[in-house]
Amino acid sequence: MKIDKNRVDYVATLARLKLSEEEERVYASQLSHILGYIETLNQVNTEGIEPTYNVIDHKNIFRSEDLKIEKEENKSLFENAPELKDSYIKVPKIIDV
Amino acid sequence: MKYEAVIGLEVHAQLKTKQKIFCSCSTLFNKPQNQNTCPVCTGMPGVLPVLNKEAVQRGLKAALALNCKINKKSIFARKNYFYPDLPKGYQISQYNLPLAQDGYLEIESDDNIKKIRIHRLHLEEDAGKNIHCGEESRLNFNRAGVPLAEIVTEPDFRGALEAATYVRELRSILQYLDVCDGNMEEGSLRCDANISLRPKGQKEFGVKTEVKNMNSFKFIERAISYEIERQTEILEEGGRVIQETRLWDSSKGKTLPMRSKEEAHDYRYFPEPDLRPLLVDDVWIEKVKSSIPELHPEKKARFISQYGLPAYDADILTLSKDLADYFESCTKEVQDPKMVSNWMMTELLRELKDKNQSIQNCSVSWNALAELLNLVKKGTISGKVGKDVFKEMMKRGVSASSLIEEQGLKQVDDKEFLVSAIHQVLKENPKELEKYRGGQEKLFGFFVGQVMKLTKGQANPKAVNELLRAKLKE
Repeated sequence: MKIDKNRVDYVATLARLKLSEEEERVYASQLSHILGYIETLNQVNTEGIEPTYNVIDHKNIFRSEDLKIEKEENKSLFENAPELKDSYIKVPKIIDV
Repeated sequence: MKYEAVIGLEVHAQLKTKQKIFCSCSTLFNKPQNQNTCPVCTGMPGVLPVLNKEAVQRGLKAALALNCKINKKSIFARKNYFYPDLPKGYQISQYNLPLAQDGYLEIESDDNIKKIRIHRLHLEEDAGKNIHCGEESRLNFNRAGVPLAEIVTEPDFRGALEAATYVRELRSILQYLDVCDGNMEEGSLRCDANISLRPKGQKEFGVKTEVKNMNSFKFIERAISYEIERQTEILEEGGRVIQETRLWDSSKGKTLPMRSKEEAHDYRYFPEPDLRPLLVDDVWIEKVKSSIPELHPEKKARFISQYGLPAYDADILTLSKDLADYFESCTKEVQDPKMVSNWMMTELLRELKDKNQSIQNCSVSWNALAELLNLVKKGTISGKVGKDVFKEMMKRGVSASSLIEEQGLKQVDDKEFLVSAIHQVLKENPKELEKYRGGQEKLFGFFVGQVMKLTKGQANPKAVNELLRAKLKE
């Protein structure tokens, strides 16, 4: 599958990445290779084989609510926030109302 | 041309768990902002989600009550988009293989039973909350990671009322199951509608709009009606409906287009590698099934047959389990279902509405009401005084007997006292007495009323009736 510059541009926009012309060219070619490999894999006949969603043993692992977990102070969580206001994280206005 | 509306609903129900779906943060509402947060729900690097069993349990319960087929293996997926209220840059949801699918819910529509098909029910985490103030927005992540069940119907509704009825019925079921508290104002139950029109008889769907922000039954009905009208007008003028998301503005009574995001939705779902497939076996399903209590429709039918209540009363009293339990406990004590129903339908529900209380935090418990009704039944106080006592009980949360004691409200059937009151009334109203003797017998009620007024409602009306009749015959 050939990935062109437009496609790279679109994916970059979705991922909020700003790419230079040169990067777009390089990634277009690299991504085409990766997807080409997937195409090779796709040629394997997988009929009747259950899809693998996870390679670890099929067993449920749950969190139980009875378990009291001591919580660390969560202040440090917000230390990297751009700006705080009354414990809210302050960001530029999201929508015009 | 005649148009037909085609409507499908998506309901997000907050599952009533103590902790969030993938971490052990509390789900309590109204906590100080960003207090219920941890590295997992704020999407810190290197953390791993672990599924809360209680969330699955409640999701299963809802799915089974909605007659869904449970997928023995379901998969969590990442729904990718960037928005400030989503710390990880993706929401953990389910895409292929949801927890459950292909169910239905029966609702009453135009006196018929209509089957609304449930397309799917899946589990997901909620996002945080944005507050917009002036030139900035503020983020609160307390809600991020709170478990939700998203319940999606097939496009089976043809009108606004049907849609509102469905949400009312669904909410009742979720509350009965104790799966969701159903509070629409606080957002624990949220409803979006997909609405399109097509010429009657046509099979293909028209262009749809999605309407959000309808946070009450009334608004669901109004918003959908408005949207149907709006689309009808466009089509009748030969225009085209644009596919878009619209927000219901209750102050304007309109749906308005939401400012469209820059690019089309492209969520690039893929299986969540940090969580294993969720496996549900028959033993678990059976166990959950057996924990499902009698739900609204069956309870309503039983209230009609067992207690002889009118369908309307039975419907209202059984819409919430708490109200139904209140009724049944009270009736056991009072042994008069119609009396209890009447008092609940009028006095209790009115007072709850006025005071903006719910039956759970009602200041008059079922035994307190039972005590009051038994006092009325015994004739200790009259029904009229009882109603005032009830209001006072709601206000102060005290018992009927102590109020009666305190305010000297005991019904009086002391003969001497009543006769003297009757005398006084007849003496004070000579004109009416003359008219009565002249044949205007309907004035009898007037005299009774005067006696009741004179005795501040304490006189036993039955005794007053008898004594007055005897007196007037003299």
